[in-house]
Amino acid sequence: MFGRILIANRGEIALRILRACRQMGIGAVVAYSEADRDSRAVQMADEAICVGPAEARRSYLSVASILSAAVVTGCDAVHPGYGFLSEDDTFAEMTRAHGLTFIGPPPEVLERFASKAGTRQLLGRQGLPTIPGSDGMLRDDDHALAEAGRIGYPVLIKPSAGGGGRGMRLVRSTRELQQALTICRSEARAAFGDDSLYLEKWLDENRHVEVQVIVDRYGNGVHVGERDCSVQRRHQKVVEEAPTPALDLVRRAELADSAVRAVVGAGYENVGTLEFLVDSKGEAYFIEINCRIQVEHPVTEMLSGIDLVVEQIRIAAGEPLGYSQADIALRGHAIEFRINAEDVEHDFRPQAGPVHAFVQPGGPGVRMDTHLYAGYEVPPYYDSLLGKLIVWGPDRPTAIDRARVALGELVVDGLKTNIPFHRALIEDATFLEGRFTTNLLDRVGSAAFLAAAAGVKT
Amino acid sequence: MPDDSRRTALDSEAAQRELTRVAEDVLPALIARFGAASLGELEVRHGDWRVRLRRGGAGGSAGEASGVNHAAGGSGASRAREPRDRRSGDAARRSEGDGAHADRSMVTSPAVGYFQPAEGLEVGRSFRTGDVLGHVDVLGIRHDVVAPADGVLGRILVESAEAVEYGQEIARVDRPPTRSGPS
Repeated sequence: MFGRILIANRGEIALRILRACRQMGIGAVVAYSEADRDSRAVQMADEAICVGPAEARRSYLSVASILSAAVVTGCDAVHPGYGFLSEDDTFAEMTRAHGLTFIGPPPEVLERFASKAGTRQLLGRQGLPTIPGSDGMLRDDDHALAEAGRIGYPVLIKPSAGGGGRGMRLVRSTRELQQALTICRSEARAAFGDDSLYLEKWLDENRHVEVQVIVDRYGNGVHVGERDCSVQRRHQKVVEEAPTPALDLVRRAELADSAVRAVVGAGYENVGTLEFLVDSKGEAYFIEINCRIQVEHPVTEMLSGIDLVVEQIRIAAGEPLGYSQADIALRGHAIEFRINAEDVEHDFRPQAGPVHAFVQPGGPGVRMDTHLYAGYEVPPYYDSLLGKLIVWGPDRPTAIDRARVALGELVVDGLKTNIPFHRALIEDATFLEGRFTTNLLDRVGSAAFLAAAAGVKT
Repeated sequence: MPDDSRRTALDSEAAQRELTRVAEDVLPALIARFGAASLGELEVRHGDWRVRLRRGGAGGSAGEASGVNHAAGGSGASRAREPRDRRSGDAARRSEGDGAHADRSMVTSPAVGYFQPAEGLEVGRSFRTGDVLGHVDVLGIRHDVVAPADGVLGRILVESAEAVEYGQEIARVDRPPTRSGPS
């Protein structure tokens, strides 16, 4: 096992990893940027090291700074969290070259799954149904038009190097496709340094269902059920829950079994997530794999009792899984609400500034993963995630009741947050009936959705 | 003995006692409060005495003094103590402006790595803005440590081959003595 781990991330996930290290008796060093000097992870850490200025490119995304920090503090492993360098195979490779372990899939595994189109082909060969899409990367406009015609509109233009919904564009006609291609290419080049694009069939009414897997380096793999992330705003997840209300027990088990079989067959290693789109008939299509811990991992932890961050560390250290599918029992229902610093009344504009008061909810089945504290100043440089409220109940209605109480207790005073959105969501009939689809919010408009919810309440 | 000189002697004795009292009791309390507050400058008058504390700029100040003490204590301390010590120093510097390079009275580290002073670097050596005073070794690649201002090298806070973090104070820049005496 590792002696000391460098945590190369910030915010709530840095804290989450720090807690896992403590629990395992492993030393932890928090790497931070100048903008995060007063963050809770830095305050709580046994040791913290400033790796650069606020600008992520020169701190959290700087391979040299992060690795040098790990070396000078005597770490033997690096946990990248999510985002930043978490799925960067070059970073993983360099981590190894400096005699350190990357906590995640080994570099050659990351490389194998780096291309989204390549991964779809790879896992398609392992028996996973994939969403109809272009045959590889788009060579030019003519190729794009021909492929879109074959797949059938509407189609989604996706950057190969993208992630988290960034850089995607939906087009419904040949004309829209022609106009969008140039923009998408330059956006992808600017954002990811890679302008390769591919097409995917767009299912107008779909749900986002993802399967959590854990695979050790000896080929033992399990799934830890699925999560439904259909409440999305502009392709960004806002609320996640498990189990999915979209599929029955048998379909859920089939999907999860096929996912874990495919990734074990394809040589995956460590904790990962396979994302699927599920259409209105309940057909699931594989879209992509996330080779990292995910923001919404607590949902699965609440159902299974498995600590996914601990599992990442154990597997990266070479330990065998030590249990099988039959040992995993998923109980009850869990829902996670992402608490973001956003002004819901002004197009969810990101907010920054001081937090004057913070009151964390409690009670049975309530978990809050956050780096907030009263007096903390939210810096403007990074994403707007302030924390996650996770509720668990023996069934979905109980979980929703507990969510209502918890969201009522939660106070973040000083800057605007999306808590009002969540309070409205859990009164919404579509959500209560478990019929949310990924494009619902964008179709009706988040503002209209909020207004309608407010109207219902009064 | 003329009266005048006795009075002066008595006065200077009283003044000496008063100076000791100020130095031992008043100043430390003042510095502590000043360190905790986000003030740029603080002036206290008491009888004939006037004490002024100023953060940053040329010469010593309360904020920096606390940073220096912490950093100096950290070099011999256990590893677990080091980061907290670094942070205390940083906190003082941070209230001053944004980022590592705002304070021109400190030579700071440009990167995370191991510090190596330039050949012959010693206290009292004068330099110009931009002069290379040493380097930080980042995974085998040298990053220059440069002088933030013209000056004379004051205290060196980091030993050769010691690990430094980004923005860590490496040495103090003293101004060449142009004008003497406090205001």
